[in-house]
This record gives sequence, structure tokens and C-alpha cells, in this order.
Amino acid sequence: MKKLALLFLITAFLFTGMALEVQADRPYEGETIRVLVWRDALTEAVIGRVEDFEEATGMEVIIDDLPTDALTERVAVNLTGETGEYDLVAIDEPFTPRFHDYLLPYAEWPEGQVFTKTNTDDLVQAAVDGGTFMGELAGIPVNANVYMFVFRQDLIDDSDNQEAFEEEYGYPLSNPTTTDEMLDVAEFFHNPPEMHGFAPFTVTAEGATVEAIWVLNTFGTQILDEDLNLVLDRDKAIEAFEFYKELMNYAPPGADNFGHPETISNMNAGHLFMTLQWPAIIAGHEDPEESLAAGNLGYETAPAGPTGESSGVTGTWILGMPRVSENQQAAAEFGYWWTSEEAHDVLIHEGMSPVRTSYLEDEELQDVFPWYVGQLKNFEIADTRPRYHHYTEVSDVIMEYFNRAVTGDMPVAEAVDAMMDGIENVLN
Amino acid sequence: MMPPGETGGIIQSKRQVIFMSEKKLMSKKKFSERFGHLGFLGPGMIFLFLVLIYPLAYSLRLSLYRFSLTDATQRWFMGLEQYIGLLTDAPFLQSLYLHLAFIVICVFFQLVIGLLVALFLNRDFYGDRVVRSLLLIPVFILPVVSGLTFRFMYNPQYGAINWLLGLVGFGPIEFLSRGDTAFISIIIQDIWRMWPFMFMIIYSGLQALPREPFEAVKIDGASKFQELFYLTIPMLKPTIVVAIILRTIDVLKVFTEVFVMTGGGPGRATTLLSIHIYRNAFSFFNMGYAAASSYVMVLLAMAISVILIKKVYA
Repeated sequence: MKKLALLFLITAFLFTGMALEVQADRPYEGETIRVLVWRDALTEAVIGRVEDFEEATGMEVIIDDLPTDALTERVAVNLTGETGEYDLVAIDEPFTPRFHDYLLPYAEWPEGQVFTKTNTDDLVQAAVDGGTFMGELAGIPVNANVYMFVFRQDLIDDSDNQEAFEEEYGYPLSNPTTTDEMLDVAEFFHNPPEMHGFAPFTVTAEGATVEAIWVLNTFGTQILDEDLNLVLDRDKAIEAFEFYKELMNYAPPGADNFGHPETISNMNAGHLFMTLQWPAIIAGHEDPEESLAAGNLGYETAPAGPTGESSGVTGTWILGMPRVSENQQAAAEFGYWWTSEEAHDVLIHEGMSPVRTSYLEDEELQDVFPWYVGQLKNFEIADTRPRYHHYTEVSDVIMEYFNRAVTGDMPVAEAVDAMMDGIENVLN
Repeated sequence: MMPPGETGGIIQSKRQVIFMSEKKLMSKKKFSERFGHLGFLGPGMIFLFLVLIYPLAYSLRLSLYRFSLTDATQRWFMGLEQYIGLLTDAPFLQSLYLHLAFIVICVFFQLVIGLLVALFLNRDFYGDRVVRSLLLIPVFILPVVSGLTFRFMYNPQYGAINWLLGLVGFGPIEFLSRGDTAFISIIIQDIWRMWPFMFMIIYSGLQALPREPFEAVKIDGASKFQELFYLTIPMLKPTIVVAIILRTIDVLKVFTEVFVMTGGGPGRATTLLSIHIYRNAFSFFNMGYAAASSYVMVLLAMAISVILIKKVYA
């Protein structure tokens, strides 16, 4: 009888111990967090693997993914209304200044119990800068985006092309490093309908502003300084837009209303020589099942302008934690998991763009994802968009007059003047 | 003999008692008659207040404020200054004119097409019901689907319209790339999608017209042209006005299809008032400005409706 009682006690002790161990491993059992993110290949990869995180922590994660416009609306309503509906929200770089007051700064995020709090030292510095406003990192960067110069390397390397190009232009064909060379190669390879020299971005969307900022920076002028003064150099802006307008001559039909879908379809069909593109979309260009251009693309910093310097534009997304979230501890774990090495090891093979520098620098990964090298180069020269609370109003003015200038709807000088007046109006 | 006043007084007071109790009964009855229905209407009224009156009042109040959704420092009372400011606000006025032009052109062409088709189909023939049903299909297509379909059809590289134009030696035309053609393109999309709505209303009106006057003018020897302009159209006038009012109000709300086709571009060439309001509300978060612009839109719809109704019943 004593033996039986002892056996019972030992068994009970072991079971209790195991149960406690399970509880310690999965401290968030029964908890639920809600996360609001944008919709693309990157978030699709994360959503596809969220079960791994749920398994590790015991919590349930409900993810709502929306197209970017709808996402911004919902973020605005939830953050400013302090609804507490979401425990984490994804915020695009231009909106960080607008929403940072409603977010818990990353420095104040609690330490993780399951995943270690992500050290920002290994995150891409440009992405950290993109998520920082007024000296505070507003959330954890989860998408290190940078505008990259993409072109058909195979056509540059082709000996027949090299011979013909040198004969026509008087210098050897190589990856274009200046805006003059960019015009030359655009003209040389433009052979519609089989091949078009350049794909612009001209639809009424934020992408047009990014394009405008890129070309203005390339020609050595900024729009706003740090004190929010309009510092746009009129002559340089005219020169920049004239250059872009000339590039438009080598664009596919419909260039005056050209966005990502048109660029993707032309590049993947093998009808495009060069463009500027985001890494998340480049992954599709390099997918042999989707794209005829896969394996034939080159990635560099965009050609330098008259100042001799190249420029780039970042597009960081952060995961922000609303101050009113009631599940801050659990929500923080999700951010740490997303940016963890464990998640990177799996997710980058399923469509996620790395936010950790060490992964972009990994030579084995660079063989698999050839744009990583170009991505790193572009991060080094890239700038954030103006850090300004009312940036979207400024952006609206820029996109309107950039479009009108480069599509010929308005004389370039007139468009630049109207753009400067419009920005002044917003600032005032 | 009792003094007449006394007896009379008693009788009078009895009558008074009876009268008073009748009055009480009456007043009780009147109360329930007067206010009893409120018990039935109450829930509906409360619901109406919550979903219609309160939001309207709230947005009206909002329209009197400078109110940034994301910037607490940008919130103050402006009063009518907000509305007065709209009168000199170039982007607002441009969008307003554009939207008015859009309304006039769309409604006019939809009316003409709807009327002609209704007149043509106002007869019995084999398969008439099938034809009439098929004609209504575009109305049931979601605006977003219609907008996306037209966007693809207009594409200069792989669009069906440019392919057809190419067959007869034209094009490619960059329909959505230039301001003027983009504006015409969104109008064509709206006309295509909603003319059957006009047809449906006018056809119903035609069916309801009495036969006798038509028989009379036939006997009098009126031509088809005279019959149309001196009989059919005047008799259809109330139906046509209702159709115009309904379509005008509907076109004032046009947003989705234009947004997916052009996003308001190129430049601001297709930034209708609805898109202008949306961008101010959800891109710039200027909720007060957007609310005031919306009220201008509401006033516009009401003014158009009142003018048209007065014209008919004058």
C-alpha cells in the first residue's frame, strides 16, 4: 500500500512538473493579439508561418492584411480613436511622423519571455532611420525597402549589343553610371514593341512622389530642409524633370499613366530594359515561373546626376504598438519573432525581404537572391522622404506637378513653379 | 318650489360631472390616440436618429471645425469660414466643376440612350423579355469590377479596345494617360454601366401611359415624330424627371470606378469632388474640410432635385 501511495505521489509530481514546464514554455496560452499589416508577398510569407509563432508562444494571432490605402485609413481610425482594437499596426515610412504620438517607442517595448528583444544594431540602418522620428524609433522595422535601379544585365553583356552600341555612341556599353549614359542605353535598347528602354512611375500614387524625389536628388536638389523650409532649387528641378521627360520617350505605350502593374507585366514579359523598383517586387521578377527576365537582371545604385552622386529613396515599414494596446507584452513577442534570426531563416525563402543586415550580407543567400548586393549598395546612398507631419499634402502637390511636367501636360518650368507655390501653401 | 337656480344648479352640476368625466375619458382617449403610435414608432425613430440624424448632425458640426484626425494641434472652430474658404479653394472648385460636367454629360447621354432604346423596345416581339433582361446586366455589375474591366480594356498594350482599333488601322490610344481622354474614358464607363437604369425607368413609364390618346392622334393623322414630341415625351415628363433626379444623385456619389480606373489622375484630370473629399479625409486626414465639402455636395444634390421637381409641377 505504501509503495502504491509513493508511486502515485511520484507520478503526480512528474505530471505537475511537466505541466508547469509546458506552461513556462508557452506563457501566452489563451491570449490573443490582433495585428494589422499591408498585403504583399512579404506579409503573405509571415501569415503563412504564423502558426510557428503560435506554437512557440501559445497565443493566437489574428492578422488583418489590407491593401496599403485601406490599411492607412484603418490605422488612422484605430490609432487616433484609441480603440485598442489592434495590438500591432504596420506603418509606412511617410506616415510615421503622423502617428508616432500614438505609438509606444521601441525603446519602451517590454523584454520578451519567449523571443529575445531584437537588437536594432543588426537591422538595416536605413530602415531604422526610416522608422525614427524626433529621435525615437517608433516601432520595430519589419520591411527594409529601398528604391533600386534594375536593368537587363544579359543585354548589356551581349557582345553584339556591345559592338553596336560602341559604334553608335562612341564608348563601350556597360552598366549605366550617369544620367547621360542612362539616356543613351534607354535609346539604344528601345525597340518597340519588343523592347522598351525605361518604365516610369506616373500614376497618381505615392510612387510618383518617390520617383520625383529620386530624380530631384539625383540632380542635386532637395525639397525641404530639416527645418521644413522649401529649399527646392528651381533650375535643378527643371533640369531633373526635363531629363525624366526625355526618358519617357523610351517608355512603353501608356507611359503617362504607368504604375507597378504595368512595369511588372513589361519586365516579366521581357519587354523592358530598365526601371526603378522595390525589392518586394523584384522577387517576382526573379521568379522563373513568373518572369522571362529571371536570372538576367542586374542591380546597381541608380546612375549619378550632374553632381556625380547617385541617390535612392527608402520605404521602411515598421510594426508600431499602440500605446492603448492591452496586450503589449504579447504583441512585443510577435515583433521580436518577425525580426528574429529563426524567422528569417525560414521566411526569406518564402518571400520575405530581410530586415537584418547580416542576412543581406550573407554570400550564400546573395547567390540565391542576387538583388541583395544591390539592395545593400542602395541603402548606403538612400534618403528618407521629408520627415514632416503634413508630408502627405506635400506629396500630393509633388506627384501632381511631377506628372504634369514629365507627361507634357504642362511646360516643365511652369510645373516646377506651380509645385513650389503648392508646397509653400501647404507649409503655410 | 325650489328656486330654479338651485335645481338647475344641481342638474347643471350633474351635467358638469358627466361632462367632466366624459372629458376625462376623451382626453385619456385623445392621449392614447395622440401619442399611442409613438410606442410603435419609437424604436424606429431611435434607430433613425442613431444611424442618420446623429451622424448628419455630427458631420455638420465637424464641417465647422478645422479638424485634423492625426494632429491634435490642428483642431479649432472655424464656423462658416470653412465654407467661405471653399469658394476660393482652387482644388475644390476644380473638382466641383469637373463633377458637374461629369453629371451633365453622363446623365444626358444615359437619358438619350435610355429613351431611344425604351421607345424602340416598347412593342411586343419574339424574345422581347429576354432582350430587356439582358440589357439590364451592366447595372448589376459592381462599380469596382466595371472600373477594373474598363481599365484593362483601355490599356494601350493589351487592352481590347486598342486591339479593335488596331484592326481598323487606328491606335494605340493612351486613353487613361492624358487628361482629356481620361475624363472621356470615365464618362464612357459610367454611361455604359448605367444607361439601362434610365431605360428601365422610362420603359416602365411608357408601359403605364394610357393608350387612348395615341389612338386618337393616329386617327387625327399625326406623324410618328409629332406623336413622340407632342404626346409621348410630354406625358413621360414626370417619369423622365424622376429618372434624372435618381441618376443625378447617383452620379454625385460616383467614386469607386473612377478611383480604380485613374485614381483621380493623370494630374487632377479626373479628381471628381468625391475623390477630392476622400483624399482630404483619408490621405490628409483633414476631416473638417472633407465634411464641409461633403455638405456642399449634399446641398448640390438637394438643389438639383428641388429645381427639377419644381419645373415638373410648376
